Amino acid sequence: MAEIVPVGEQRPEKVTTQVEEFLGISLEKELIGISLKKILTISKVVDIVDVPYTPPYIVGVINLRGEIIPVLSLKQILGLPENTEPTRIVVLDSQHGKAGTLVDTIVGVVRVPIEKFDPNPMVGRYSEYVSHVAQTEYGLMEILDVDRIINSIVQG
Amino acid sequence: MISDEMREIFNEFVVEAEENLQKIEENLLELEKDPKNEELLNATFRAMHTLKGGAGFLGLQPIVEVAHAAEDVLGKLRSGELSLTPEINDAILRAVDFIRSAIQRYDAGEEVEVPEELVRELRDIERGAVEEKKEEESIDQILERYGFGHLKGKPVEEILEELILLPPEERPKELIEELDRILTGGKPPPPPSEEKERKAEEKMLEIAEETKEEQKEEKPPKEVQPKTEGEKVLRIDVKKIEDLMNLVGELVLERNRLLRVFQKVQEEYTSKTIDELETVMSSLDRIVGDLQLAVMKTRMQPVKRLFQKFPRVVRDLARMLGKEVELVLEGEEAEMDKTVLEKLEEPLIHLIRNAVDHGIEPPEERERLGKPRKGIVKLSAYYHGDRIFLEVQDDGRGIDLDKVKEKALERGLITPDRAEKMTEKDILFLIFHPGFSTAEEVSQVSGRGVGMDVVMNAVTSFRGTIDIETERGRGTRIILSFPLTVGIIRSLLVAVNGRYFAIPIYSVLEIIQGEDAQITTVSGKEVLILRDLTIPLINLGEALGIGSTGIGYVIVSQVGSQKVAFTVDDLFGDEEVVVKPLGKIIGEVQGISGATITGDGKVVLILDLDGILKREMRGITLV
Repeated sequence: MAEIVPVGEQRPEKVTTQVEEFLGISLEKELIGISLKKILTISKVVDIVDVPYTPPYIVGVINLRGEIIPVLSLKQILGLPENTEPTRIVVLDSQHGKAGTLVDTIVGVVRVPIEKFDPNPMVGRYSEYVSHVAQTEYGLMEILDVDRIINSIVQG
Repeated sequence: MISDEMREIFNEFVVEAEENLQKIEENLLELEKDPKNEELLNATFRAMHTLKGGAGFLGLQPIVEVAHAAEDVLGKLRSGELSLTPEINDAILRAVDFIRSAIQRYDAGEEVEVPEELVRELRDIERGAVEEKKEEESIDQILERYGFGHLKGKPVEEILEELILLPPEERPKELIEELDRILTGGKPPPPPSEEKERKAEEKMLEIAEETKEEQKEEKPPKEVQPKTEGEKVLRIDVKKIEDLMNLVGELVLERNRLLRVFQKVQEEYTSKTIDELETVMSSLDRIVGDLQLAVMKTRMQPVKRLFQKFPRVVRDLARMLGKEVELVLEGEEAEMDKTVLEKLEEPLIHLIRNAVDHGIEPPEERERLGKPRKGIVKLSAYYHGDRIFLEVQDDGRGIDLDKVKEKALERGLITPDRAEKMTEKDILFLIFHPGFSTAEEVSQVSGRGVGMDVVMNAVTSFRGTIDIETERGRGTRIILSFPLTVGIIRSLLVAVNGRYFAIPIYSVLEIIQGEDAQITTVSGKEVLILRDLTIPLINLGEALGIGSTGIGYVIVSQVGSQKVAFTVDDLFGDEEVVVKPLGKIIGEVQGISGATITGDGKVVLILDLDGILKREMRGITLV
């Protein structure tokens, strides 16, 4: 089908566009994107065993196919309120091992052309963990720097 | 021949030697392209040196001789006195080949002779360091003169040998004499003047004479072709073994689950097929058990590896202190987990030092006391149940309890009041208190600022226990015990405020029903009165921060050097659990040593009572 380009608008560059894929998740109504490359699996919230003596952002551990995986609270880490009950655990792969993160809901796979990335306009709060923001079909998505989060946890 | 006792070490040497030989070879080849590369030269030198050391330790003289000669050549290359030529490279490579084949022959139980020729060649190269240039000229001239131009460029010794080996009628007497003169300090080129070197040369000439007969018949010494396949020792990345352990752990848990399900099935139905299934189940059960054991064994190493370091320690120490001490080793073949084994060297050295330094009396004193002059320190290993015990025992003076008490009072570790009531064991265990041993007191030997508390920490970190027995004038015995395997531990499953936890059973001394426990308070804190003991009582739920527990049961445990009681709501017996770490992201958590997954897939945390106690005691000095 021939594309009709309105006058004054540029023809989208089809061939050169590089697209990155993210898993869009919702945390307290905010849309957050995690690179699909980092995601191992998604599971329901089941039997998280709290580990005494650990900081509040470590929710506990779960048994993921015979492996003990820590579960982290992104809300705690990002300093978000905790009004919505998480329904899913997104298991990420990091250089320090697997980690589960609690999310409210899964929005879906969001494809973002690279040129749509904008630097994070915010400072303070959790901005150090948000590398970019991007306008998407679901609204403004904050792209999370997973490695940075895990590294800062491991380094205490 | 390699004796059986040395076999272990030999096998290890083989692996290491092969690595070093490989490295040397690679480096030499690289050096041919880049002869001035200092880094490579250094690495090669070091590798050869290590090889020599290892062979020396095993008494493999031929290898030592060759490696030594090669090392010296490498040393001169390194210092720039020699520059690497392909000839030199060849010689070193031949040394590598020889060492390799010698190792194989030793491995096969054969004897190996010193390859005189090779050693001589290497020595010549090494000595040629200074003289080669000047000498070559004149020797070449001489050779030309006698019509032996084709021998030019070879070391004098080799030329001589060649000539000597000629049939008598063709042998140029004058030339030989002339060359001989060059070698033994005659005229033309200034020969090496050092006495030692000349002697060596003379010896070599003699050998050349001696060997000429044999050489005729034997011709080139037969070389055993290095075989690459026959490696008996394989180095495996620990990570791979850990993965294997993990998988086996899973398998064990699944088997347990399967057995449980099968039991139910058996209760519900009876049929021939189920009987058949039962046989399959039981053999599966056995195989999984065997597999588990086999995988565990890959991590096990004989304590000999640890013990063999100590005779030297004792010997040096005894000499330094002017004491006569014999170290007796027992049960060296007992095996334990490699990771634990490695970490035990330091604590054991400390205990042995203590025994020699503080335990064993000087010979004169021993004589006066009617003891043999020579003191005995015995280091032994043995199994008992699912634990391995290590003991350091001496027949020295024993620990003076009054002195210990005095010192503890002095340092404010105990109150005079408390000192009165302490049992002998309590007093003895004071030596493990971090504040007890200080650098200022003891001698240079046991001092070093390392106290018995370090020993205690090392031991408890591997779920080990420590016990100590002493008798004045008769000696001291320190007994360490460790779980045989680090991967699986027997644990007591307990409920605390509706949650399940596993407590390693080795730390449990005694379990008391809640209603039978005599509990009272001392300065606002709960204590358990157990017979004549007063034991601090910790509410496990409160300690874990998950809400107070009732007193269903009281678990009395030995935590490090002291007894502590914990309250729990309920008990569910003991079970073997596979310890899984919490991972890097959570990291080490004091008080929680890991987690395990139960047969029904639930995660249960394994408590580390020592850690919990430390948390509780933080800021509070010991009772």
